[in-house]
Amino acid sequence: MLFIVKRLLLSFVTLALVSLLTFAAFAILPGDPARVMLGQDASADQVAALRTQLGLDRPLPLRYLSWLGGFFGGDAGTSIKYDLPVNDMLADYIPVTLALAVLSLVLVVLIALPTALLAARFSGSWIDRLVSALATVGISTPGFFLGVLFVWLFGLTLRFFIAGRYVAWESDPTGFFAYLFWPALAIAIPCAGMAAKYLRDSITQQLESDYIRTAYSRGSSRGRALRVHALKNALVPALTMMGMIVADIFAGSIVIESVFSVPGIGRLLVSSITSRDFPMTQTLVMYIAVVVIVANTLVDVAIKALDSRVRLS
Amino acid sequence: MRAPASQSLLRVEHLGVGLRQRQRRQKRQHTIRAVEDVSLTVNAGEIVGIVGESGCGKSLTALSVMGLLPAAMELVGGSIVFENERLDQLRERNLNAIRGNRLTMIFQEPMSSLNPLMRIGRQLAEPLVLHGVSTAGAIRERVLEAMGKVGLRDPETLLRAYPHQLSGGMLQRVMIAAAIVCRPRLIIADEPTTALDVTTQAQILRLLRQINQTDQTSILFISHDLGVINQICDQVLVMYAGRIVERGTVGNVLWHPVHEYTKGLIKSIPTRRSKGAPLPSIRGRVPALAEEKAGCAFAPRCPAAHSQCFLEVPDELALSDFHQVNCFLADVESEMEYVRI
Ligand SMILES: Nc1ncnc2c1ncn2[C@@H]1O[C@H](COP(=O)(O)OP(=O)(O)OP(=O)(O)O)[C@@H](O)[C@H]1O
Ligand SMILES: [Mg+2]
Repeated sequence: MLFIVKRLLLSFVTLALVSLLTFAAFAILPGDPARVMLGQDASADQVAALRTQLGLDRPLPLRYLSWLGGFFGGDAGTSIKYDLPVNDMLADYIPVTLALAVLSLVLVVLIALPTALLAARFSGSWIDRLVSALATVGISTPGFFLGVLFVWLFGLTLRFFIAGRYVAWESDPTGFFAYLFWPALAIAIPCAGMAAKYLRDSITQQLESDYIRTAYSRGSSRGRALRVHALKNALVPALTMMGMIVADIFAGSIVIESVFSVPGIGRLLVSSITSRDFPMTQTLVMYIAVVVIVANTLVDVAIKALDSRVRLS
Repeated sequence: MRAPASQSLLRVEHLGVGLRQRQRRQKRQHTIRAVEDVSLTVNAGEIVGIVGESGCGKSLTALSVMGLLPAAMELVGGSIVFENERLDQLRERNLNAIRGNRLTMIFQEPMSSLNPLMRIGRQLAEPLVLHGVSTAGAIRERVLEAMGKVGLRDPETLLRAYPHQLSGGMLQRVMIAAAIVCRPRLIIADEPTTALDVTTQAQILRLLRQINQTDQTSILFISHDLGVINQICDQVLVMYAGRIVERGTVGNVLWHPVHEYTKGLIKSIPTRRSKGAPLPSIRGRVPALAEEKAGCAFAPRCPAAHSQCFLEVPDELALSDFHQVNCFLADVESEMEYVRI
């Protein structure tokens, strides 16, 4: 119980810091949203008029405070660029990104878990070396490069999907996931490389421990010792990394959504920063931070469920 | 002539263990040996002890029998026969059918030898599950029976507990229970009491003796403590630097030691009378694995060594049917004296 209270408090502090940082970034960034909207040809008067209309003539700290009050009151303000309530817009964009993130996470697990198990089971063999080499390549390839590569190779050349033609969930749920598969894969590969490497090392380390020797002494086969004994012990440290991977996936989706024209919050974030849309950017950053915090809390709870020795603190 | 099968349960002959060679080109002669020419026999119902200072190859000998040598080590020659089967030539799958079933092992460190994330109940049931006891009722009955034998009370709570909730002594009892749950013919116990406090040590020793007597289970008991060996073993092998230097019944070896190393070990046992006096230990130290060992490995530390000791490795000399020694200084006549007494 105390754990939950502490955790909530800590999350609150984290969120406050995140919002302050975004605010600071905006205070430093040059550029005026009204100017961006009207273009370079507009006269100074036109710009000034729009600034007043949008409420941009108030100083940034004031705008920050009024946004902050609104955010926690359930009204995150109005987007400067789109002139629509931020929360209403996000109701359309967030589910798309969440679907992409969940799909990426599933792919990370589906790729990393079997390869790590295989590499650990045959550690030192050519399989292990191959997995390790592939993982290194995966880790060091930037997600956006994979995205561009996929668009060109699987989209334009092989025509596995039509590049740029996003399929909405409402019109075709299967097509939606089929389209999201490629950006999700581009996001997942670097993360999967990292996860596979880490899990493989974690398992091989567990395989050296005394209780594994005990398992063999009781007649357990190598495969069984790995599955039944080593894996669970290896998952505890590997799970901690899952929290970081969730953050990585969101970071990856910001770029990848633009590459694949997926209408999610990643693309929205990029465009709202470009147009200096303060309320929209602030709100998006906050929601992403909330998701990452929630993911890390879930990871801690999962670790506690696996290992009763762990104290949540 | 072969001994009748019913008599020798485990027969190890000329066992050698060496550091695994990375390069094939290296010749066999240059293999660094950690265990060399070790032969031993364990008969049904017997407790055989292996004693020696730290690093003399006791654990490697035990692990060879189990087929559980560390990755850096490999068998280099010799044979291991358990119930008429060559363990050293068995395929892993066939070995797995024996390990944990008819041949089991208890380790020195009970804390790390159990899976920290698995309930005690499942760990106790594991040998049964692996060796063909499949119904939940039968497994439960056998686990409870084993727990009773090792004196674990309140089984219901214990079965649901995790290792970190139990004391070292309790965990060692759990290890023993898991080792006897399939009613093995031979238990290998590698310093099972070293990590425990004195009171618990005595209890565990009594427990092993009891298991040996009630179930006729043989035990290969490893210790660096001759006092402990004296309490529970029938036969004893004294090891030094990877070789056996003296062997025989506990009465012969401990009360009429011939090898200077055995004599030194016996002097080092603290007795009630010697309490407070400085412990007379053997001067010098055990040679490192890689050190060149010409002649008897103990010669540099031996108070009675002469020139031959530094040149040749002594062969085994049978002082009687119940006492053998590997030492140039021993002669059969000296032994005969006390045998006649
Ligand atoms: N995995 C390993 N890699 C390299 N050398 C090893 C390994 N295991 C054991 N040795 C060496 O082999 C020798 C014999 O080791 P062993 O564990 O059999 O000794 P021991 O008699 O059981 O000693 P202790 O009383 O300390 O348990 C030692 O010199 C040790 O350093
Ligand atoms: Mg040892």
